[in-house]
Amino acid sequence: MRDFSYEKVNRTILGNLTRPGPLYVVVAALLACGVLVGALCWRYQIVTGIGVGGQNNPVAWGIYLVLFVFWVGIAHSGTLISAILYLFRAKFRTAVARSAEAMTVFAVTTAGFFPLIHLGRVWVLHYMLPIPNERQLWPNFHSPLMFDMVAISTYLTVSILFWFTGLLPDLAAVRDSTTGLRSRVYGFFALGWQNSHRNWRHHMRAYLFFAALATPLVISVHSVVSWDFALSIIPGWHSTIFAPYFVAGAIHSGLAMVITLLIPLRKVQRLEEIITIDIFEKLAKLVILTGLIVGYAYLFEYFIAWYSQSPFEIEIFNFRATGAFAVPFWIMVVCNTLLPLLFFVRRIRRSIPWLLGISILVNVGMYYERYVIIISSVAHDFLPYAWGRYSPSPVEMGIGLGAFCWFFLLFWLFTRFVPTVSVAEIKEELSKPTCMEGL
Amino acid sequence: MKRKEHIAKGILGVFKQPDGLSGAIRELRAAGLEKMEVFSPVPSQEIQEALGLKPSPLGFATLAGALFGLVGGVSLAAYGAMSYQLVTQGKPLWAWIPWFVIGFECTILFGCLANFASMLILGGLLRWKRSTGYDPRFSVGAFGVFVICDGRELEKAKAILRSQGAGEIHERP
Repeated sequence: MRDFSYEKVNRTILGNLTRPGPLYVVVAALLACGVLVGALCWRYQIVTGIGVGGQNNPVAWGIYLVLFVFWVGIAHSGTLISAILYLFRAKFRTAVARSAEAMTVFAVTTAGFFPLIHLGRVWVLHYMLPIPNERQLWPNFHSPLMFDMVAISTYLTVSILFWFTGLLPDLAAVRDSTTGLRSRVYGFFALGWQNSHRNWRHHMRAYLFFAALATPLVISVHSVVSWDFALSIIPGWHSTIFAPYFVAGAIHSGLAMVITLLIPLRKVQRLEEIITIDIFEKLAKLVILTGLIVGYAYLFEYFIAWYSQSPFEIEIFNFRATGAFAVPFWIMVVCNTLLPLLFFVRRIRRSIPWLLGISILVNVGMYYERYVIIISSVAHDFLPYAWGRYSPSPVEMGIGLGAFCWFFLLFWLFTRFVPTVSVAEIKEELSKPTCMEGL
Repeated sequence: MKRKEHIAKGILGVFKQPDGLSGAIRELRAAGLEKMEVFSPVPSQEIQEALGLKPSPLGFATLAGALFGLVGGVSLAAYGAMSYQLVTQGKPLWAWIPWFVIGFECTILFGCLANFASMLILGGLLRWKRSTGYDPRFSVGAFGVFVICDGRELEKAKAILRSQGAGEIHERP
């Protein structure tokens, strides 16, 4: 990238915002069909009742909550890359930050549906808002579910503002390189950005403060999500390590999703010179780190269960590894902790097929982690007569499919309508402009 | 894109490199020509220093927003608990620790909202009219300075821009 001129940066990145081809439209249409399936399943659930899902006594928290935690987790590495690595001045983030931030926004949006879907009676949504209801009762702010509501809505708002702030100079660049309606639309969203010293002076300061504020936020959000479980007394949930354990897991899954999305993106948009293999190597090293933290948490949970000598704790952890949840449990252990260790081999972490394969499997593993944690504990709590089983119903699976399609559809649209790499930040990385055509 | 322009009289110098631009800004200021607008495709510390600008005061607004969020969030949770005094989850009514979770999230939320709003206001955004002298090349790779001046000052500015190696000079009479 060192031989790039400012003009080449614009051409390479903005050149991808062209009129969509037939293949692009077909993929978008297929994803939209998936979203429609999810929407129809949700409609059916609203009309018929929450009983069409597989949740029942004792497993009242099923796949909706699994997917909620999964998508919130995916959202985390976007802020890690855009905010935390920005504060640490890690330059490799520049090429991948925009896509990771977009992933964050879309994943939080996807996650935000699930409390509403799980609510069943979605028309009483206002009970979750911080306003008194018709009987002048306020929500219970002592409840972790209210913490979650406030945390997730804050995270969504901050992620969108942070992403949009970084986008302003690039939207202006698109405005200036296009004509007609496109130019007017991009110009509207560029909010009158003109690359003036006044624009830059306050923009850079604001971006720094966004990064500083988003860093504790990202840690707090998944801690709050973990307290949905840890503040109860259910065996397997009532644990003091849940907050750091969930945060590490969230970043682990998010990094894996970033790799999964960026590998095809750089190929399709011919960004190999900007999103280099060195960047993937650094992301793979981060996956090793988060994988080791997650592995340590898995081991420590067993140690705590043994050390407590609580029969309920020992029972649930034995049940997870050897009972009805053994298959998802061992998928989780292998995919999240053992497979990332392959990245210790330099040849593997610099190989695109290996990177793609392992990152997909880490996401499979992280999905099963949430499945095991959430469902096994309520299926197998204190008293044997209250034990039960759970399997997702077709309606739940349809909604799950719709959620995946919704996320990928948003990302697919993003790749065509928004610069996928920050033009201004890439230029900043180049030492000086190397040429200026037509001047 | 055709956008309406703010009309101001002056002279525009377009540069290939930020170095020449910074030199021109310093010379112009030394010659008493302080009214100018500088355009750059990237943020530049060098340009900010040449303009003699202090760091943006935006942080004060961010801090004010964050403090408002903290006080507001804790107050909201406290008011909600106190307005209907029902013991839940075995916690005392005056359970201030959970209130700080709400307070913390509101601190970040309102800090970020204030940060964004002050960037829009202080940065002169939300004005879709194009400044005089703005050229679409400034979002690609060119650097520019538009000096607001008239009469004899115009000639003085032109001489400075030329001496600092401006690739193009345009007068806006």
